[in-house]
Amino acid sequence: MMLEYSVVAKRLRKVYRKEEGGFPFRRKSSETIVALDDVDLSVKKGELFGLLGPNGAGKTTLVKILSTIIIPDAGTALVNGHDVLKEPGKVRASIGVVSSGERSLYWRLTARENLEYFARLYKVPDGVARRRISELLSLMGLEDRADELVEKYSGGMRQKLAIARAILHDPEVLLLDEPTLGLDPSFSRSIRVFIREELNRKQGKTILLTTHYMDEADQMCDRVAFINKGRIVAVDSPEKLKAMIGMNEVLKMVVSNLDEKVLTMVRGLPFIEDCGVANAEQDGRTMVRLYMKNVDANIQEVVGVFSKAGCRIFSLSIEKPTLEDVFVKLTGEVLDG
Amino acid sequence: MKLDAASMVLELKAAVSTARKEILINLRYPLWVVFWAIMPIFWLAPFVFQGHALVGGRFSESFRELAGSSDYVTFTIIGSSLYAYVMSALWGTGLSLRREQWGGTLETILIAPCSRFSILFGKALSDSVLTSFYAAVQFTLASLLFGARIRVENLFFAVSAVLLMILALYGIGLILSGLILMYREPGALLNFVDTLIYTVCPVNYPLRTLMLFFGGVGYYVAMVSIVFPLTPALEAVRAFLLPSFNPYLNVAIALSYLAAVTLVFLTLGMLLFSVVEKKVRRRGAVEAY
Amino acid sequence: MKPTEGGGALGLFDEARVVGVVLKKELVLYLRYPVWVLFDALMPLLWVLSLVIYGRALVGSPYSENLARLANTGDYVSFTIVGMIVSSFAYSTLWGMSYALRGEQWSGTLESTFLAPCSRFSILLGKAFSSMLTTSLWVFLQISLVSLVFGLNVKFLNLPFAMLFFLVALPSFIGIGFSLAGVVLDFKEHSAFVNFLSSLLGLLLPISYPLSVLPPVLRYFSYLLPPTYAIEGMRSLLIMDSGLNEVMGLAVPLIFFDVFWLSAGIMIFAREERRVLKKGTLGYY
Repeated sequence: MMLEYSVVAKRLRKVYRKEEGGFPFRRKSSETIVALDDVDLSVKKGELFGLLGPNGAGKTTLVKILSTIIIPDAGTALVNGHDVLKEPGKVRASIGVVSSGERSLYWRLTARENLEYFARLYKVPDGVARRRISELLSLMGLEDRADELVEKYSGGMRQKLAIARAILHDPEVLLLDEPTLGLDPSFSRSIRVFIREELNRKQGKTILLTTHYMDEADQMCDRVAFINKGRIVAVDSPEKLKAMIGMNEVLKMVVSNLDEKVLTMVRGLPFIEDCGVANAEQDGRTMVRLYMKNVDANIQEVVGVFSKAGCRIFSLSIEKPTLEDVFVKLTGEVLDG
Repeated sequence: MKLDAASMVLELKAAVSTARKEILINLRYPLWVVFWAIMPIFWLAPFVFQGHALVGGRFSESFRELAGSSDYVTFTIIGSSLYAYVMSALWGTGLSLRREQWGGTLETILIAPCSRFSILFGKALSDSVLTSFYAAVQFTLASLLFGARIRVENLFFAVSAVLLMILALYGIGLILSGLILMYREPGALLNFVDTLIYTVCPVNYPLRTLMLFFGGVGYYVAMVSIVFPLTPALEAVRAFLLPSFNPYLNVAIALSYLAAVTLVFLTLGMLLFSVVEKKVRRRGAVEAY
Repeated sequence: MKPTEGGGALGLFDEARVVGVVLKKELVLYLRYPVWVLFDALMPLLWVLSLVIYGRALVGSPYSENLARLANTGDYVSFTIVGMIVSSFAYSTLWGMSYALRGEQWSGTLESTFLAPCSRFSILLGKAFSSMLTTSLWVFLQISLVSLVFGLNVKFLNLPFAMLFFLVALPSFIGIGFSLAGVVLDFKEHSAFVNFLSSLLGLLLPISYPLSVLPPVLRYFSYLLPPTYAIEGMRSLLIMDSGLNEVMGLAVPLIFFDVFWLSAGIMIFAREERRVLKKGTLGYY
């Protein structure tokens, strides 16, 4: 039977309860955090699917449930047709997981020793493993340093090795949790190209990746789901999502002395459709994104409102809408990072 | 989990591979290897010197009354060599998953499609190989420095008893690793269990000393002591190796008790571990520490 | 605490307040870990118990003729317990500072602590005093308990003199503590190091035996360690009722060690700190 969907999440729910005190006096506090709030999600076979949301939105919890490391409070998920609750063993055999952070490797082992070890844990037959390990090491450009300790590797090399480890057993589904977090830009680019071209297009793997970089999702993914505060806000292709804003343009401004009064005034302008305010302030400066039709004709009036209210304008630019703008429009919040 | 021969072989390979990985990593911390090989002598020596201070020679009349043999030096050398396995089961196997958690690799190995017990078994295997090496070094060094007198012809029986003890101890290690995964603050718990075993088990003094020292309460202390596999194992090993040793427990009973306890601890350990793993996954705290 | 103007050095009074506030912080943190409090209360009892039971196995009675010949007292129970108590005081001063520093490296608070415009030695002293204070509390409880159970033969009238003697030994312990704290700043295999040194001390210090049973080579090293004199001196005062001359004979080398270790400790710590600051690895563990 051909599966149409490789990953299906059905009404997944997960609530964390904070703990207080030390052993043996530890107790659960009444404070709870809803990490996932009835999440439904389907990823088509062969698709590169992005889960985009700010830190703490529930992305990692979702990936961990799909990789059988966390048990949900309610709902379940199918990965490759296997239920994560009923057949965790089969799910594990058919997924490869890369979590952000290079710590998922043994630093005091060499790259080859790491791969040999995980090949055994993934029950890859020895002959196949040997061939596969040398293939992967050369694919990743690590063959020259394959017998060096991982602690001598750079962050980017460790991430490559972590990816090699995840695809060692040739899984059909890859779950990548912030695969480029903390890598320098050029390395991030090469990892993205590798994921898109090699793993997804060439090897035909279904990939679910989480990120809080909107560019990453925009460039790479066939479809994107926005997740915020444990809820899926929208799912579609990046193009269609951006089309939701219409033909509008975005006026991006950095201003000082911003307060609620000014914002109300700006929102009151007839041509303004929406307005997003970044919560990250530096030296009293705030980034504001204004969504409107026909920026050229109205820019003067907007500037006038800010100046009259005593705001100083530091910069001003006109941009095409990005995924971030869609996210702002849908949630009223700004992605960090 | 399928249980046919082919998948059993793959599970076994996962276990051996885990053991190999652990030994490789251990060898990459040479300072610790030297430490564990040499240090036990420093812990044993004060007891030899204390003996010299209190009885003025290497034989104690009181020891002869309590244990049949007056050679307290050989007595403590055997005790501390076997005690190495207790430390390894506690601080090695007991902490092994916690160490993966600290290193950040715990999730990665738990996502692998092999049985958790293959991984744990692999860890216990590497621990017992390394500890046997350390115990052998310690026994040899101590014999050279202080002079041990043993019945070499019984070495085979003694080693068999030690093997049985290893299985039981790693059952305890398994139980502890489950508890530690759940409660996350292992230092105090491990230190307490470690010190308790050291105090109530006949590592340095014969079991009968407990009765001499505590009077009527001594029997209860001895009963606590016997729960730990170390006590029956020490009784059996000393009965095999120490000339004229007069064990408190009958050797046949000690050995069959050890076998029974092994089964109990291993089963308990596996059950507890399964429960804890589920619980930790439900709490969503596999990697948190 | 008010920083002095211009970020200059603090006065002696302010430094004393730093010691006080560090002491308080360490104590509060200590009480937040009730398991460790319980552990500290019980464990030393079990350790001394295994030494005393072993003694009983060796001798068969609470009195050793051989020890009486070697050390002026045959009461090995009191002998060992006083040895343990003094050595645990010594350990808490020796390791207290480096453990606390290590803890701050772990929790990531070391850099911000060292940014404060006070002397590092005030911070270290605060840590040393807090670990001594908790040790004294437990030792006091333990002595009371042990005296009840085993009938400890301690000359309590001599207790003030014994404490005075400990004060003579204290500066040298603190000096060694400074040196160890300095070494630990940049030495990442901390627990191997601590384990090694305390195992070595366990062998060289006359805790459960007099030094005369040690091979001469080892005895030579024992006499280089200030805690050796502290143990012997306090034991003479508390259980042997030795004469003033004998005690003075132990105090003189201690005064020499005080001067030596205090200056060595300050130098070593200052040098190591500068080195770590240059390497930029202060907060690393």
